Amino acid sequence: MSISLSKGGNISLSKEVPSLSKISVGLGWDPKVTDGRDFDLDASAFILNTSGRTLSDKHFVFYNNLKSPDGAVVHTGDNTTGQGDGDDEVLTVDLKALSPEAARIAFTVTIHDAQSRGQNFGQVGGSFIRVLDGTSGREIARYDLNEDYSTQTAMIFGEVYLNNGEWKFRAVGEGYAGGLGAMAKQYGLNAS
Amino acid sequence: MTLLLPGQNAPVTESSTEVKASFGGSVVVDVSAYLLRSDGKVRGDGDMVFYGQTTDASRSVSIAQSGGRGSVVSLDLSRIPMEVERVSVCAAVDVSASPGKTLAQATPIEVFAAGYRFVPVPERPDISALTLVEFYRRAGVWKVRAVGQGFVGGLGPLSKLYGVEVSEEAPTPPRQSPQPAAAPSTTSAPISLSKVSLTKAKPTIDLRKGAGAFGTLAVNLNWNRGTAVKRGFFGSAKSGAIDLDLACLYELADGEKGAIQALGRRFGALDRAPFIKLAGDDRSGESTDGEWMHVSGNQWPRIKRILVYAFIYEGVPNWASTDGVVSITVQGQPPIEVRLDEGSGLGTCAIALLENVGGDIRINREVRYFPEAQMMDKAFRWGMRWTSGSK
Repeated sequence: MSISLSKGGNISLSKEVPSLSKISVGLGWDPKVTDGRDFDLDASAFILNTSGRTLSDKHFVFYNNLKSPDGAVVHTGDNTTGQGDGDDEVLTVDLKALSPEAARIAFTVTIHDAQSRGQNFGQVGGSFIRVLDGTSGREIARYDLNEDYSTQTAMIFGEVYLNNGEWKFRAVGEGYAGGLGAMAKQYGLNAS
Repeated sequence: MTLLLPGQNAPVTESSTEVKASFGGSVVVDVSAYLLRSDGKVRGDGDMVFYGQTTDASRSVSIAQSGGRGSVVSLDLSRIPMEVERVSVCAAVDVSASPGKTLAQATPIEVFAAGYRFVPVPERPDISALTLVEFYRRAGVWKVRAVGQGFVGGLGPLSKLYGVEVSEEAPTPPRQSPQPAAAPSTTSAPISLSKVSLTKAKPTIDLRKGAGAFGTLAVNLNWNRGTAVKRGFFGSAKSGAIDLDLACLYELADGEKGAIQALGRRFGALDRAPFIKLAGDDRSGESTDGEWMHVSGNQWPRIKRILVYAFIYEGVPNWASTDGVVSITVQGQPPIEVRLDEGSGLGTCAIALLENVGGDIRINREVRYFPEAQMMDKAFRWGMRWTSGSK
């Protein structure tokens, strides 16, 4: 049975699935019901070292870089409208193929062109992140971001991290202004 | 005053609060409110507040027009039923009064909600309905969020989003069907969004009474009073402020004639002739819902005709700047509006003539201006004797 987390909560993925080697991370948000501009939300993954810096530019996996150099983290494609049921975007992680320096993977969602479109997470509902066993497809954990968001344009949905040899997942749900650029900067990248 | 961006939220400190919305341009815009459960839907038609139903079932949310270009939604958040998680306040173009217009032509749209200011800009030129702001419960307290997201199709799709079953008639004055009206207690009937605007092109409507008698007819006059800061120190309304008085001439079936007006304190009565009553005069100009006159519907057979008129009691006769609106509401019928949108420098305006035509109510838009009531009397061949009076 899948475990539902609340903000800040964590769970040991390795304990839930002892033979765990691959995971899928699905991120979703509500499709827009009004007739204005579409919301284009983008899921990204930052592969971080123990000090919270991205290992390299190539370890920032997003719509312009769909695969990390080690091939461990793969973005399965951009959904530009949020239409459709279930996960809007999915990233897969081969835990065994990750670079040895990888201590943490942050999964983020940012609003494309948020500034010019005047959009923010105060206008997005039904956001969630869920972690599935990549082998069986079983959902291990899920976090529904039901916080009272406002003008944030970038959001860390959750993190997968290594703790004493165990892979764990934490529900984060922290938002920032500034979009993907600010998010990349925070993780030690020079984005333009 | 703090400006909210679309999507931004803020705390609400007073449980008794209001939303004031005003619109630019000459587009007629209706404001509505929806009381929503956690699933984003209304519980029933009683949770929609709009021109056809000016307060909700719990009487915690009500709406009033403030002149022709704005509305005020009053909320008593402490009285809102617990099942209601969210109250959405919306704007939609009145397609019968402003056919083919959109909210992009009604800018600037300015919203004052719970002490915050919000200026939504329609995202597309064809947006004709917009959710302005939402009040919502969060951890036991109410908050407000600026929304500013819209629809192309107007009030219909907006109402459907919130789960209101609506029946939209064509934007022409719907003639009431000659067969007896459906029983008034049918709760499953979809809520009617129809509103009739009598215009120069379509000046007349007949209200047929169907099986029963007419209920009370409510006649409301509302207008834009001009800026309050222009009022003098003792509250005198000398510079800028405009005071309109609602009045009528009547003629009964038995030949009795007269005038109902605050001038001379002729307020009339509902339970005896002339079966017309003027509610207290809004001399203060502070009341947001204007002046009211009621006509006893079940005495309609004893009434021959009523000429509803207004005159400028104080202020410069500049009707175009008053944004005056007269609405006539008959129970079970779509509200009827007459807009005083033609300017004139004359002080008296004949607005609408209500005539008894074989038991039906024929309402005809007049909007004709006269220097004084005697001339109007003459033009309509009322035949009264006039003496000057003062309040």
